Amino acid sequence: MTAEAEGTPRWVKVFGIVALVLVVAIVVMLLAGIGDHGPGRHIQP
Amino acid sequence: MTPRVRKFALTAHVASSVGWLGAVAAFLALAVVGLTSQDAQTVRGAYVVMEPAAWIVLVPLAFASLLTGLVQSLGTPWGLFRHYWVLAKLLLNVLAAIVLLLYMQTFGALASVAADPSADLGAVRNVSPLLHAGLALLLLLTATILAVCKPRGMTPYGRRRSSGAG
Repeated sequence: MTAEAEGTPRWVKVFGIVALVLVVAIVVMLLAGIGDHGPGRHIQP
Repeated sequence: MTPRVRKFALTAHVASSVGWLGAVAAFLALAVVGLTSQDAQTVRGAYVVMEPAAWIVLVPLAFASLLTGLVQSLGTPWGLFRHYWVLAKLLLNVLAAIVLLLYMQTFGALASVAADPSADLGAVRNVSPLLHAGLALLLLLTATILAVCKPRGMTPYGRRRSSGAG
């Protein structure tokens, strides 16, 4: 088995980085209040 | 699995997964109608219909896709944790199903506002379904591409199993 075959494929690394960036972006948005996800926000006071 | 059962399981997985993708596309259309229609009844109707339609179509298809995917991977040499593309699809499917279940509460809240005749149309319109349906569509398209392309790469677990078997 070659070293290349044993390593993690490039697409997996790219996929992981994109997923991590998206998760961090969503968490930051939620913490900043941009994506307030409580269903109560849809109900008028 | 016998070849006949394997074909049936594969057909069930493809049908439920692509059906889920199509249903999300229909929700994206509903979300656009809710945001852009000039007719008040149409706007309210779009948000009212989302909740029951999600319970009847989206949730069953999501879990059918997950269940048939598990059967498909565990019942074939692909395995569940041996190949990165199968693992990635599993993670995407589980994530999408969890977010969908959590979002059902929001669908209910949106429907309640839309069904309230005293609620202003501006309060009924909401960009949230458009955002969630758009992201879900991207996620499910990614899963579909992975299923079609089956990019190579075995996980460390898969490599151990493979070398152990060989």
